[in-house]
Amino acid sequence: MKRKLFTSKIKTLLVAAVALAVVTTVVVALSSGATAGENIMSSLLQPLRSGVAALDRQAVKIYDYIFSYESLEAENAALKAQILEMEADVRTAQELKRENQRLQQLLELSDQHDDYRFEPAYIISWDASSWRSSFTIGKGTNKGLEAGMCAITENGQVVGLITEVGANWATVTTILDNGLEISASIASSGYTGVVQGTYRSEDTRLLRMNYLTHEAVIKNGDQVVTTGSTLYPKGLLLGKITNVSLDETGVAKYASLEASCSLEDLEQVFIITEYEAG
Amino acid sequence: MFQRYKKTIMWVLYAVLFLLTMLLQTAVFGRTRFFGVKLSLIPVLLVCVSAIVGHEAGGLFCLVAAFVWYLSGAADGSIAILTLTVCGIGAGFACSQFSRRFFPALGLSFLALLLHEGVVFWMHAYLGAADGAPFSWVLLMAVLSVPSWAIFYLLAKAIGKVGA
Repeated sequence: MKRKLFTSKIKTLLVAAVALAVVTTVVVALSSGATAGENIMSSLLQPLRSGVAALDRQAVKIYDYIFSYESLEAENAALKAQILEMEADVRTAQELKRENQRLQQLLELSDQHDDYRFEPAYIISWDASSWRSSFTIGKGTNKGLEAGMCAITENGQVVGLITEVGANWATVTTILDNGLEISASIASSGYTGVVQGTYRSEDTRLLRMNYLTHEAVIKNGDQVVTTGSTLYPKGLLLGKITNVSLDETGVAKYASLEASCSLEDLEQVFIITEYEAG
Repeated sequence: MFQRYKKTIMWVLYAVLFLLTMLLQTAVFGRTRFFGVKLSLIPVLLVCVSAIVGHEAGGLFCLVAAFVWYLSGAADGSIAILTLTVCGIGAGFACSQFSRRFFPALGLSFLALLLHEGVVFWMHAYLGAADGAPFSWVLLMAVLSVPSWAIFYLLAKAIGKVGA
């Protein structure tokens, strides 16, 4: 017997699929941030994602232990030597720090970054789409996170901005995403522009700084930092300039940057929840 | 009564398989890019399930799964609800023409990946979110993702036997 494709059930399914797609598009367009459905689903999935992410981290550790034992031993020996060297540096630094503190008191200067408050968060899942670069962390409004806050590494390199936030989860869109634009300036010269991600399969850490003036004098290796917003401070490192060219219009320049952070081994980020502007 | 119980177990197992695939794709494979692209496993899984259960039941499963996938925050967007449902219905119907469905499921998985990821790429490009991304990535993504069909097909077939 020949089967019929468009049975009444199939027609109903197709109509339902079109209706759902249209309704969800309209709901997303009308709502700001995550919709109620997304919020519920992400909250339900959060413990599962945390569990799988933890398992994944353990699996990577075991794999590294089994297949990188010799290199780990060599690395361990090198690190021990480095620690000894660093301990000596720390002793010197502590002396210098005390001296510095005295000088700071003398000059009544306060430490620039004492005002930062961090919320550490583990990455629990990554966006599966090739057209986006974002991940989900296991903390949300329950820890005081808000959309627009900045995620950085332990070394102070910008990873991205929170673009969606739920009760116990938040989505961080990374600086490598083409859709995220961050106001930035070149640390040495002060030229300002807008940094956004690019899609280059051969170099996924490539960023682009747009809207630089035609007269801007820029050197390779110049550091690019944030200019700040109401939700994140200025002076956070985005990357280093690798190339400068005229843009498509011919009236402005753009710079290619190498992002300072690497997402490959990223497990944990730190969200700047508070800082004193100015 | 017993048959109904077996069918329920079968659909629960399919739901668990979908959930695990979703977690695998986001928590494990989501961070890694292969030649610039990420693997796309969901369309392959849905094609394989539809190939086993047929286009009507498969279409309904795909519709629900696509909606859950969308709600989980996937960047594919709401268009995925339509494309994945159409892929499921099409694959289920096409596979019903064959007595052995293993290799037809391979070809249909590849076509489903091209259709779904192609539409998602087009939507992102249209909205300006994929500026600079080459369309060849869609083909590359399909080529790299489609080998997962063997595992998904065998799992879907084994689960299908539970409800037979």
